[in-house]
Amino acid sequence: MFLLFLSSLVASAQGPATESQVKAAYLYNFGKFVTWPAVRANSDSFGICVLGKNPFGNVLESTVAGESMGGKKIAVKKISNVQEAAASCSVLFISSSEERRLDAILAAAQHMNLLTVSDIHDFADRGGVIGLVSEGDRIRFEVNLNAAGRCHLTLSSELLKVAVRVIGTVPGS
Amino acid sequence: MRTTRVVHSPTTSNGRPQKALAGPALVCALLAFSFAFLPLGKANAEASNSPQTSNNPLKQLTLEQLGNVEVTTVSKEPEEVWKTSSAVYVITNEQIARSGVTSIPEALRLAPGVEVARIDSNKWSIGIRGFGSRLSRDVLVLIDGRTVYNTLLAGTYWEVQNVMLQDVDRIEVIRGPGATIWGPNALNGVINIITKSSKDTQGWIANAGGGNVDEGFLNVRYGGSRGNNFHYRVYGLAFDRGPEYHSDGNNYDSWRNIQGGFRTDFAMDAQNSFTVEGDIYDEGAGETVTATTYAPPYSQIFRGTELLSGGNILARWERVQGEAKDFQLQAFYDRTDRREPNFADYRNTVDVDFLDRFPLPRQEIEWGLGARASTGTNPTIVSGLYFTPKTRTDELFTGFVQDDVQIVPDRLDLTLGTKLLKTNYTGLEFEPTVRVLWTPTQKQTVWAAFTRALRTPSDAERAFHLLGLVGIEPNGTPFFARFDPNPNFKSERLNGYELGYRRMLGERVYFDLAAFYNDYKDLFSENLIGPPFLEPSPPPPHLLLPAEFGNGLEGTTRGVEFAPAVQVIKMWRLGASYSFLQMEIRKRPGSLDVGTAPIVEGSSPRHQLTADSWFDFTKAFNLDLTYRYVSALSALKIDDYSTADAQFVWRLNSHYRLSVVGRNLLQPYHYEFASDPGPNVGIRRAVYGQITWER
Repeated sequence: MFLLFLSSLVASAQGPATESQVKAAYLYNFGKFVTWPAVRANSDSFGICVLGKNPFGNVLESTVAGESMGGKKIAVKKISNVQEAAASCSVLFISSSEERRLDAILAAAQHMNLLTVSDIHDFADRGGVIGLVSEGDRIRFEVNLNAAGRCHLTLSSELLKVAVRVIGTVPGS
Repeated sequence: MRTTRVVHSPTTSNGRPQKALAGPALVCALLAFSFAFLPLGKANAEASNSPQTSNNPLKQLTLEQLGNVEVTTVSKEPEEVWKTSSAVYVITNEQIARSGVTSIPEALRLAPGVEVARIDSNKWSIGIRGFGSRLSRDVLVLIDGRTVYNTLLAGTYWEVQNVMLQDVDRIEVIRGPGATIWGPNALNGVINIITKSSKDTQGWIANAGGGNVDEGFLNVRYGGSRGNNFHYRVYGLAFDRGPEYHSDGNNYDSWRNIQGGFRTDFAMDAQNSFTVEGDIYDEGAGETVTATTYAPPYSQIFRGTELLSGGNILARWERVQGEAKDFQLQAFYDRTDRREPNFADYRNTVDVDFLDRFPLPRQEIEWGLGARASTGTNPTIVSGLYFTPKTRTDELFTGFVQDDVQIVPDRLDLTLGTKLLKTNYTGLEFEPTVRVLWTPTQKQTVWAAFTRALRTPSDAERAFHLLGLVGIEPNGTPFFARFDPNPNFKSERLNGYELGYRRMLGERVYFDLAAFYNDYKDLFSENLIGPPFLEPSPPPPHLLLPAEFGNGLEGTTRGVEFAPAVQVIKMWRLGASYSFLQMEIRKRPGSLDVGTAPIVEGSSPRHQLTADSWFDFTKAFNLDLTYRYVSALSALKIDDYSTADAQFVWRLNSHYRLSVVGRNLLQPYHYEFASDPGPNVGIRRAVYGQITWER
């Protein structure tokens, strides 16, 4: 009885999304609102890279499977060293496992024109471009314009409008 | 030894008990339940192998819509746990809160493979994969990297391991000999209690309540900061717990504690961080003990209060030098004073540990060194219980090296390592391990391990004299047996074989299955080493049966632990665990053991089952239920029992929370373990209310 009850419930449940699903969807979507400098535009795939312990399981792969960005196929890569990002990453998700190394990673990332994203606490304040933040049951994001400027990224105004908080000023404006 | 984690992430979703189903019936239901899901699991595995399948509908949403999607937070993938090649279970802060427990030992019931039996109001028998005992001598226990294993009688005095449960980040329970990175005596398991960083405990929390058994308690903490890099907290707690049920009316086991402490975390720069923490406590715990003396009346029962006090301070420096390249240096000092009606121990322990980790191509090397000195003084209080010499220093030197090799990146990992140790009672000993972790898909892991582990001799076997009264001869001469130190007592040994499988079925169902076969040699025994003789001194002349603790037992244990958890819908989560244990302990050929094998075998339950349900009616109300079944302890004449806990929580607003907790609800009292002299103590139905304020 217990069994039948449980399995039918599980099968029929259409509950809320998991954090991984929402964050993966953000990672996929952010690319649409960012312009990379020409040097980055030359690579042949659009890489979304996860640095450190992968918190997504296979959710990120399944989110971007078969999708492309700006005419380039999206590829998910898991890397353990920020230097590996130089070759093929456009978006760099920094796992919370790397919190202790964050400053070094961000310093390296800005020379590679990477869109850095993370759910590490105060990520945007600490110099990341987009920080994912939890607000109750919802996941939203903050943007650090100065960080984006250092990475030579141009962010669309639409992204800034939706952000819960924007830090810094648009360079040159 | 290893001061931090096998598991880096605090996020895991494993589960606990539910309501009243008969034990075996629920076992069947759970087994059937797991099989029922296998087809679904297969489909899922295929999906994850085929990158063409797109199963995240959220990606079509706009950024604005994404920001409005509600997410579940309780079913985060237990990624870190399930990529570990040992039987790890993580009890989270939320599980502790949801279970309504008020002590660490009670929280340990939440983990599979752990046997927790309450002896009385302030004592427990705890074991992992068998061998439960008052001091859990085969289990290594650490609190924030500070080992609390006591080398005097080998084991952990659970009643003095109190922490403010609200500030516990997680309790990692490793069944089996664990990895090489842990310190000595982790023969059957490791319990690693980890409190939150002071960065994550900012602000006030105050919690107060009381009830029929937990008569009153108060926990208060304040966390603050100086700038972005320096965080601290201070806390104080006090409780008064009444006696459990005593059929003879001797309510000796009340328990009270006053404790305070602090923790600071300072991130000096991107590379270097420092943690300093400490606690101080003063406790009284009632007990009944047998006191044996050479002089009349020879044997009497004392009821009294253990006076327990102590403090500790720990400092840790962590330095991150690069990717997977870091080290940490830690030192602690611990003082414990224990004055029992028949015995005392005043102990100072100093410990220093160093850990280093660095990467090689497709490998990660971790190594460490440690040294500890623990000096205890044991004044004789009754003539039949004493140590020689009265003051001794136990020394421990340890080292370990471990190599993690990625054979196939993200798929197949091999861990090779060994621990080395030397104590004042042993030569150099090795504890090697080989572990394999296979991750065929992102959603399942298979692991296997072989480990050789040992439990080193303690003062109990090497420096302890314990007298017991056997009888009085017709001519009035007392007849005693006495355990005297055995200079030949050596380490208890284990060859452990383990196998595990973990699986995530979709986003909502998770289970963990582990099986083990342990082969023990040189297990602790109680040996009679000669015929009785007349001993003139100490006076009066008495007949003495000479005895000692030896290594006269051997045997095997085997078992299975199964722990599924299901996020049924967002507001409802179910968890369960079932543990099966079969012990076969025998006298080694030629051993002089007096016949303790059946007692060891019959003091651990063969079947244990828990099931729990967390139900959130709304954000303001939740109801948490726990059911547990423990089979009989034949050697102790303890019957099997089922009981249940319930907690109802009402969040008035973001600052105030009220809850009512009922524990052991299914009967007025039940028995879990045999107690000290006198009738067994019944564990009462307990109800308490509490209010929590947070700001």
